[in-house]
Amino acid sequence: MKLFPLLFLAVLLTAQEDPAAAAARAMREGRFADAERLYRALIKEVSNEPRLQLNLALALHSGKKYAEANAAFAQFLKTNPPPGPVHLVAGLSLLKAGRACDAAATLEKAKRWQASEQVLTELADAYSACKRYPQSGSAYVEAASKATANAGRLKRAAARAYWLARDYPTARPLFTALSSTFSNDAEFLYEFGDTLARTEGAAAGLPLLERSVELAPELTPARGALGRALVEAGRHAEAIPHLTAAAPADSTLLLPLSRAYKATGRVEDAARAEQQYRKSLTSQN
Amino acid sequence: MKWLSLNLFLLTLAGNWTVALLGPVLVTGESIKKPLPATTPGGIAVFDYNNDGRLDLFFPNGGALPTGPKAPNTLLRNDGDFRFTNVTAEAGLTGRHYDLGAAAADYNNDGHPDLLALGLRGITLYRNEGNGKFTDATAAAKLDNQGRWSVAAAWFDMDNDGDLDLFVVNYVQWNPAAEKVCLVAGKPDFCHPRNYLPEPNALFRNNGDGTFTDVSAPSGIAAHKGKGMSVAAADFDADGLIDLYVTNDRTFAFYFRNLGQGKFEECAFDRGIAVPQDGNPVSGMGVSAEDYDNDGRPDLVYTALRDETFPLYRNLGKEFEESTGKSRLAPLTRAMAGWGIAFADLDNDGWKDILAARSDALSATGGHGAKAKEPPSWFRNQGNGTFAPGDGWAKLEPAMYRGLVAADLNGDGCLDVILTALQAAPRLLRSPCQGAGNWLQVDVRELGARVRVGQQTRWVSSATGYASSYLGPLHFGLGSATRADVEVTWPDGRSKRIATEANRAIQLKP
Repeated sequence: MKLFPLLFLAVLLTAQEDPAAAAARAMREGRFADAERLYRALIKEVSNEPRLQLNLALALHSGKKYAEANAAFAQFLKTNPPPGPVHLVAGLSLLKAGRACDAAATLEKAKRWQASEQVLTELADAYSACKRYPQSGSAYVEAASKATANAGRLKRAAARAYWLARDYPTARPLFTALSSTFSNDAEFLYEFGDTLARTEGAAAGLPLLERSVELAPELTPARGALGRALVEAGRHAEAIPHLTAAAPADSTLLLPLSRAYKATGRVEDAARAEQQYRKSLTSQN
Repeated sequence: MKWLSLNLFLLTLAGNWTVALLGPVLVTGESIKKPLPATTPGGIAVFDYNNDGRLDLFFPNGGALPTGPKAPNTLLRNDGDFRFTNVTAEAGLTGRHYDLGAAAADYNNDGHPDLLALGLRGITLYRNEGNGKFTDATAAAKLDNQGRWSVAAAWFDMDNDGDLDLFVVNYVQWNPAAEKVCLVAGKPDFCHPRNYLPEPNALFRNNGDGTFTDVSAPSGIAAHKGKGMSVAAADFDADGLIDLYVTNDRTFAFYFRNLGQGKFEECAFDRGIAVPQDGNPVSGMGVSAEDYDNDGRPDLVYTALRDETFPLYRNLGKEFEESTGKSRLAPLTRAMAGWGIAFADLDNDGWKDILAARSDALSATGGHGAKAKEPPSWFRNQGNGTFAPGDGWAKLEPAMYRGLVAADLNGDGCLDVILTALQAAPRLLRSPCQGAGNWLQVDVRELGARVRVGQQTRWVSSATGYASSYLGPLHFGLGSATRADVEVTWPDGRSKRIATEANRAIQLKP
């Protein structure tokens, strides 16, 4: 979020208020601490007018005091203003303060005011941080449809959101459309390869997963997905190093690892891996 | 008597499938506290209780929770032409407990199919007196499930001694006083199974004199605690003894291999059917065991929740191969949650399709809201190891579907489908029976018998899907074939072969 719209908004809301001229000037000049002090004084001494609460909130937000800004925005929003730009800034402040689920609710109102690329992007970010991945994917797609410069980045975010939502059929065409742009991005290749392996079978996902691990051997989840796909494809010996590397972070991989050991004649290793798998599963239940 | 004419209860037409309501609402006892049992009812038993040649319907019912009035069970007598009469009271099947599941079989070999009701606080054995009435014979039969929460059961002859033994699937320990409040997306909802302790299943040996002996411990069954949801009984390893496969909720499944001499060995991991091969445990719900690829061996499919897919295992003889991906069932079912399931040849093409009763395990008024409701689905077996979406069900009303049984209720040679749904009346999906292939129905009655029709093989088992039971003729689609060779092998080893014309029901005895 750029600062300019915030300042513009603050100026609009304060220009006609003579007692607040000093505070407004402080905002224009980027002296947010001064603006905060002045607005607090105005609220205390002159009036508790909602617009002053809003300006205080904007000063706090601009000064990166997000928790306090949220409280001031909440005071203002109690007046139940019609959906508008305030909801965008208030939602952004909640998002910055790590309250993504609350931010989503506020940004939904901002969307009713204006379903712009910026509002939709912030809303998608909030959904994503709130782990509401299907809604996040949908908002990114809508944002991308309105974007001029950022369409590719937003579609990438949408594909990831649907992948995280495990909605692989929806994610797949998004990944496919982006594949030439991100052909050397290891995380993209992992997510796309995993999607193909789940929707089309291991053979479809293997080339992408192999390329992902080649580009970023440290990307452990990709190695896990590659190991699983190799086992499904019957390439057990090749799967073992990948599964061994990824299993410490994901104990469910111990089962395909056990199968790979068994298929390659390493019976004792297979039994040990299976035992570890069963133990980890039992402890989770 | 109350007539339940489907002409009066028609709901919608989905494709050419006619949908009708059947009988009273399934009462779950769900409340704002979301007691776990309220998400688990919905079994069905389809059996010919009065031996008139028509399949009747039994629906166990729940009631208020944690204690309170029981909603009566329902027995609908099939009077033909899709007309049913509610005969519950005169049959003595109203019930006393919160019941979830049912299993039909003739346990005392008197020629009249009996009925077991499975419930939250134990099991009830109803002996069929042969005059339209049932008697509670639980105590007389010395059947005691120790008050455990049971969901499903399989009647099977574990020792081939000619009488039916009983395997009972138990779920979890539930103490209403200790029930937590669980939130999903900020709303009260059913708690995850990890919040409840597992239970062992139970095995009762039929003594042949109307009584049973609990052999859960000496058989090896009791040594394995799980969170059982359903059971499939079949001779998976072709050694002449019926084995058992038990799905568990959010933990690995059990495969109890029958070793003979009353002993069982749990070896699901060895056979590759404990969990899907990617290692991610799933919420195993209903299960069906049939030979879907016509290679003569019983395969397995079961329902699970969203993003878990409905795992499909192909029986290779000594072990199983997971075919969920290869069969295309993975992408078809990844977004689905399911309960009841059945392999059944809906289009009579000679290949068994997969039918699923769908819905979330969470409440329709909880965190997932109305999205918890889903329509039922069927997947057409394409005869090449893969499945495709079936026609005609996509527009069916979403509901909290649970039980599912496929049965030809009017003798027209096409399978109809009976479904239950939480807080709703059971549904009957009447097959359009248009454009379907030829068919054959073979009635051998004896559980455990193997029936081969051409390249197809089926085993007589009354346990099916989720908490449900089917005891009736085996249905075979024949495609364009107008004749079929039939071979039946009974559990004692006797067998019989005949050739017959298509499009008829036949009865075979040893």
